[in-house]
Amino acid sequence: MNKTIIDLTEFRDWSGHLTGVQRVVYNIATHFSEDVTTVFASFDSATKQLVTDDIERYKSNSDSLLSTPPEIGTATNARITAQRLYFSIPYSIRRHITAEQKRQLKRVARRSLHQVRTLKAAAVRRGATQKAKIVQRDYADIESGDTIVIGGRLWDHPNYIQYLIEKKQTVAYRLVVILYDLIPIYQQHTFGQGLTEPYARYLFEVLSHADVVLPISRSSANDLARFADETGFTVLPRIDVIRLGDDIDMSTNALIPSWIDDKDKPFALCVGTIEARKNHVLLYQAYKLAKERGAILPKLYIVGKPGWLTGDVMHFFQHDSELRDAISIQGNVTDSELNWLYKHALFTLYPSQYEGWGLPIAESLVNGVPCIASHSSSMSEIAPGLVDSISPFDSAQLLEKMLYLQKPLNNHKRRSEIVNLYKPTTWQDTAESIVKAIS
Amino acid sequence: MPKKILIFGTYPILNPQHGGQQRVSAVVNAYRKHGLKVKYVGIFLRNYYPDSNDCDIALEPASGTQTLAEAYTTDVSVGMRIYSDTDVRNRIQNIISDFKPDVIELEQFFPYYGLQKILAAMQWNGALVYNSQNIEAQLKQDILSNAGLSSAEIKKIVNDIEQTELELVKAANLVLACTNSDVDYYRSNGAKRVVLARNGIQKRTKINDNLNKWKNKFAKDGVTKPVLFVGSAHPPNLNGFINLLGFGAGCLPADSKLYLLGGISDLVAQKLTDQPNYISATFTLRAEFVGRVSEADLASLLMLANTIILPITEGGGSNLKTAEAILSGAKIVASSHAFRSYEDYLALPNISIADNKKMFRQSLHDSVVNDKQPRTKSQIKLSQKVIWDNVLHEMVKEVDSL
Repeated sequence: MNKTIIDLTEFRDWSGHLTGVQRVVYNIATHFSEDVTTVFASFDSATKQLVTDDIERYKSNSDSLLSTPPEIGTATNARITAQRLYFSIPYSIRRHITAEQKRQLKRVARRSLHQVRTLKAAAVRRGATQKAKIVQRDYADIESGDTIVIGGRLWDHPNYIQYLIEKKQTVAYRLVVILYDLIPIYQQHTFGQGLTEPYARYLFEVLSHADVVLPISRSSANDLARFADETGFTVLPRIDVIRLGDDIDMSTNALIPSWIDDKDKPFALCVGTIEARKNHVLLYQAYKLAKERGAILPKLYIVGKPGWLTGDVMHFFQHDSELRDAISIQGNVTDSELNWLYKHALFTLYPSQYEGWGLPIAESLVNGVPCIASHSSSMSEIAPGLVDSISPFDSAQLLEKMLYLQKPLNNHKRRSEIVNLYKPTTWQDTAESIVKAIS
Repeated sequence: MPKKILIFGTYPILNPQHGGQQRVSAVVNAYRKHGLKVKYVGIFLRNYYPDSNDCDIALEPASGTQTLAEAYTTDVSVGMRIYSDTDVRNRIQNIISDFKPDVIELEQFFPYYGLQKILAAMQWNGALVYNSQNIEAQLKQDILSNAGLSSAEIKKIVNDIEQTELELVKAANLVLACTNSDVDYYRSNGAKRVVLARNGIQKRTKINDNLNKWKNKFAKDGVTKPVLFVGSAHPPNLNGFINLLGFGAGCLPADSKLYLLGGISDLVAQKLTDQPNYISATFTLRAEFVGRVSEADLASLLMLANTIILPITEGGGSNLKTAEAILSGAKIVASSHAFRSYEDYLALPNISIADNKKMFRQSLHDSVVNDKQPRTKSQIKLSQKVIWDNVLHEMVKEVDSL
């Protein structure tokens, strides 16, 4: 039986909280972890090899991402032991192993992890040749018929791309890549300079070598089709749109943030990095417009750290005395605090110019909270009819929608619609759609 | 006593590079092989062609700033300077007087602007041959339309060219045309006699000289299926490339690469700078600007090519590069325009014709991916008909009989 390799390279150099891409990789990996034919691996840039890795080590909390890279040759738990036992069996034999036998293998592995280690040590003692073979097993060798699923920022790892390309020349494996967006190509004005070219080269190689590409929205799929046409592709990999889960952090406790002025007072919420593309300037303009027209809006909490190209708007937010009590920016918010904010917001705002998906919109709906979001790119796909759509360039329209949703009757009506009609996507659904695409 | 032929053209033929030079060089060789006495005089701007023979006349470029129209009609101005420049006029009169040709042949019609007055003044009464490479008015119309000139300017220039070319067509004892459609055009515009003299190529003898050098380069590039585009810095070559392939190199499989050879390489590289950054970043993953190469290099590359592309969409005459590609035996992806006058060769295997960008890219991909079908003995024989000796045979006999 062939194996599925879930790539965890994203975590090798990452520390701190999981953000968008890491959350996706983490959640998908978690849902693959019960499958005995799945192995986890990450690309070691020092040895330029794929090495075995383990999602368990990232499970406890995001702080564990500060820990050292996986040690080659150390079986960290029974599941990995089972996998290694399984893949140490020659392919000609293991392809006949039944599902029941696989379960037995897992049970044996659980009971005899210690024995396995002892056996391994004995094997090492048997001689240099045998030792070399065992060390080799700790490299996540891609074999013919294997599938590797990469959801991380492959574009940041040119050596890894080269490794995958070269591997393709000798091994008939399947490369599956999750595609987030083409913002560095088609919305490059919202980025600092220098990313477009490497990202374009990455996409070009993905289109050349991947067997399956999984865009996270129809909008990203359309952008990919445009890019493929512009760059001359006549033969494309299989392209299947997947929908990301929006059940992130639902199990987290809700804690009232200490900086909340009055927990009973209605507020609006905007979640996401503060960067030019996210278009926070529209929020500023809408709140200024409300002041000009004498309209009263709920206090707005902007949750996110400052990112690209936002010097001017940050200055406005921080120094406009007229809005001092109307808008508050919070850069360090825990998952528990964010959970509380989602559950208690009157409505959420997402005026982004362009997105590959727009997870905060889905998260708002999962919490039954109305969301005003841009109608551009993928954002219109998330929940047509349930999201209050606006143009990302029309502050008057945004103001109008906020005034509408702050009326209790309207807000209640929208909440009822969301609760009754919005069908959340679980990460299990996402994982299953990936399995379907690669099977 | 062998017949004496004096040929005038607007470029030298020492170290022939572009198609026009190669054609004239082949014509001169064919006459000589037939026992005729030939003198070729090239009149040209020195800055365009540094290499020349003693009997060539290299002109200094006109001083001052050129208008756009002047930049695109230097061949016309060179033709006019044959008479208007006293020194040039005197040198040409002396050449005619000294050589005493039986036949004066014009390569393209441009020298006729000045020569017509000189011949009239000398009351020269030998046979006049016009060796056409294109219907020049049509070609100039295409070039100027793409150069950004006003329609009034284009009309004025094109009308003048058409009128002068047709004056020569009517005055000539014999017109030599490259394609069947050109033959029809000249016949219907008053030519006394028209003979088809297709473009051909020189059979290469030094094919192995640089083979290993290029094999090593391809191996280093990870390329097992090299694709060639060979062309001069002739604006229609660029237009054809843009119209049919453009900067979409994604149609090339990962183990192939497009190598741009000759002057076209610079034109395409220049054009690439106008493209969005993500296009320029990706095109060069599957394409390389090689530029001008030696004859030995070109011979090696033609021998190693998996596929040769001929994205020609405009211009009259026939394309020497088409003949080159046919003889090389490589797979070919071409426009139907590129096969003008080579229609008989479309029966050969491994030739794909595509006349729009979508089809061209798809055909290129398929050509590179698919195995090459071997040619039969009769197909090999057919492909060798593109060699100059074969295509110019009738022309030489006609000129000798004048």
